[in-house]
Amino acid sequence: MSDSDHEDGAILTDEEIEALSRPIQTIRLSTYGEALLTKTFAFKVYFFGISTLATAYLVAYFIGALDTHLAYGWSEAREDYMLHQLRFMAGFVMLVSLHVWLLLQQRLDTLLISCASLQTYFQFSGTAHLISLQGAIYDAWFMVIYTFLQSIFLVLILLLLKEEWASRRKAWQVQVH
Amino acid sequence: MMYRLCEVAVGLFVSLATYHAILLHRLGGPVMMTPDAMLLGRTLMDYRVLLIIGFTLPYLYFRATGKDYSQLLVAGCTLAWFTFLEDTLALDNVLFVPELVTGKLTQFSRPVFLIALTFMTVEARRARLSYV
Repeated sequence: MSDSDHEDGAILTDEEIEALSRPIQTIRLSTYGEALLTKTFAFKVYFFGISTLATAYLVAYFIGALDTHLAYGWSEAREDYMLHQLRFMAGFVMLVSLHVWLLLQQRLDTLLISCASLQTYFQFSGTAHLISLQGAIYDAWFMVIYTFLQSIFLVLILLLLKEEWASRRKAWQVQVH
Repeated sequence: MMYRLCEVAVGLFVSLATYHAILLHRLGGPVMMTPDAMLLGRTLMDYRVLLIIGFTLPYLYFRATGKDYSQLLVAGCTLAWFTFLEDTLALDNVLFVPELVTGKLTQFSRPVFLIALTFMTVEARRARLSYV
């Protein structure tokens, strides 16, 4: 090898050769059993609870069962209908992302913070808009159920976040010992 | 250095958007097809201002006191992107008023704001997770 090659820095170090010869890690989805193995019991309960509730809520929306109860049912404004579509689609994306992230065995805290912020926004702007529409506020049962359901989602997301941190602490303690 | 530049871009947008929203509110709110749609536009616009203030003040406090602000940025960035989608897809660019200079500036600087905020969030989160 000539001197000019040395000057170009073309010689690889042992670490670089080792890094290059290492097999490439492909993305692999684990099973739910594997993914939940390191999680706390409470995490599993909350995860099952939020998945079931969110799926039921989304199914109810997509078959049209909620149309008359949401803001669009009261105002019949095109903008409200578009907002519903966008928000339920966001809910669906959040649910799918949560499952995919879990199965990829990635950290869930960043995703859960995003979900919590979106859910808070949905709840407060949704309730404020329903109150401003006049009609909905007189349907006390509907308002109570709506607020209760939205709050449950928010509480479950926050509890999941808490348990995610607890699960990571638990996994770290196992590694140390 | 890049982070500071992004902070400046975000700061400029935040000031501009707040000023524009207050101005629009004084002029009677966004112009929309039906009274209900106008009501919706006004409610959401008020929420935009509240969100901006609600995220900017704690960010400044955390930044000044050296506390972890990465979680706040994650929440703020998610909402910034989602409200952008709502404004564009559902509300026909509710904040865009071509007659007002602030309306044009807010509309055109929004993509820069979103990219800058995303960069800040990724950087802050990366720094936080590598520290932990």
